Amino acid sequence: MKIVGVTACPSGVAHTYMAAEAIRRACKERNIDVKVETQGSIGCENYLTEDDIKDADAVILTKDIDIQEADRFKGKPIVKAFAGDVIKKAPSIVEKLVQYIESTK
Amino acid sequence: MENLINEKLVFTDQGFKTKEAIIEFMAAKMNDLGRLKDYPKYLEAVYERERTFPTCIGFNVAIPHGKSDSVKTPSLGFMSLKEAMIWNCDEEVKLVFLIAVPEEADSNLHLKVLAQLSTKLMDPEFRESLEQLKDAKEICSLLTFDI
Repeated sequence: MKIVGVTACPSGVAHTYMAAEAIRRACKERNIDVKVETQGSIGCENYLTEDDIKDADAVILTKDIDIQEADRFKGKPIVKAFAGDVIKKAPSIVEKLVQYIESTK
Repeated sequence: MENLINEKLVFTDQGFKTKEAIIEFMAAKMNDLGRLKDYPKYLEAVYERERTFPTCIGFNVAIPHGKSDSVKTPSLGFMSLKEAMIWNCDEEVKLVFLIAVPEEADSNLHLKVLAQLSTKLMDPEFRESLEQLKDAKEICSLLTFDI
């Protein structure tokens, strides 16, 4: 199983990176492959390529501000959440995604 | 490059009960150290951010921040509280990181440090150490990253 995500927030200083790390930690705990792109004040890091996205079972996007190039994820199951909620509840968001992915297999 | 944080911006075992008192105390210290250009304007930027969305992020941590041209030197203030206080609604906070970033940063370096700090804050052991440590010097070194 593989989950990808993109995080961003208004100031791009802190929440972007916390949310990204929260997703990584929640996925790693469950041995899920994960790659999270950050669109923060220092620019875009860990850019998700076509290949990264092709293999992904689901996508997590923060919805505080617009995600750049969100059309990359067309056709994939997408969960949108505020960065603050991702930081606090990443494990349960990932849990729900896993259930969803398994139910569609 | 001046470090984001130094021992004068580390406050442990504090007894503050409100977010306003915490923010104003640390911002005033930043101002005393010549790191702000306009103290009232910086405070307004921080409060504006809190109004838009409170910066308590869970895990007993709050990260109030202002990105504003009222900031001269990118700065980080750290405070640990003796007793948890209510930051917003029912959310308890024991560790506060006050962030000050200029609107137009001269370099990405400080922002990279803050990005790294944000990432580290998701680590329970890292937060635990910050809660336990009392020595300003040790806390500073924990909060300083080589990029």
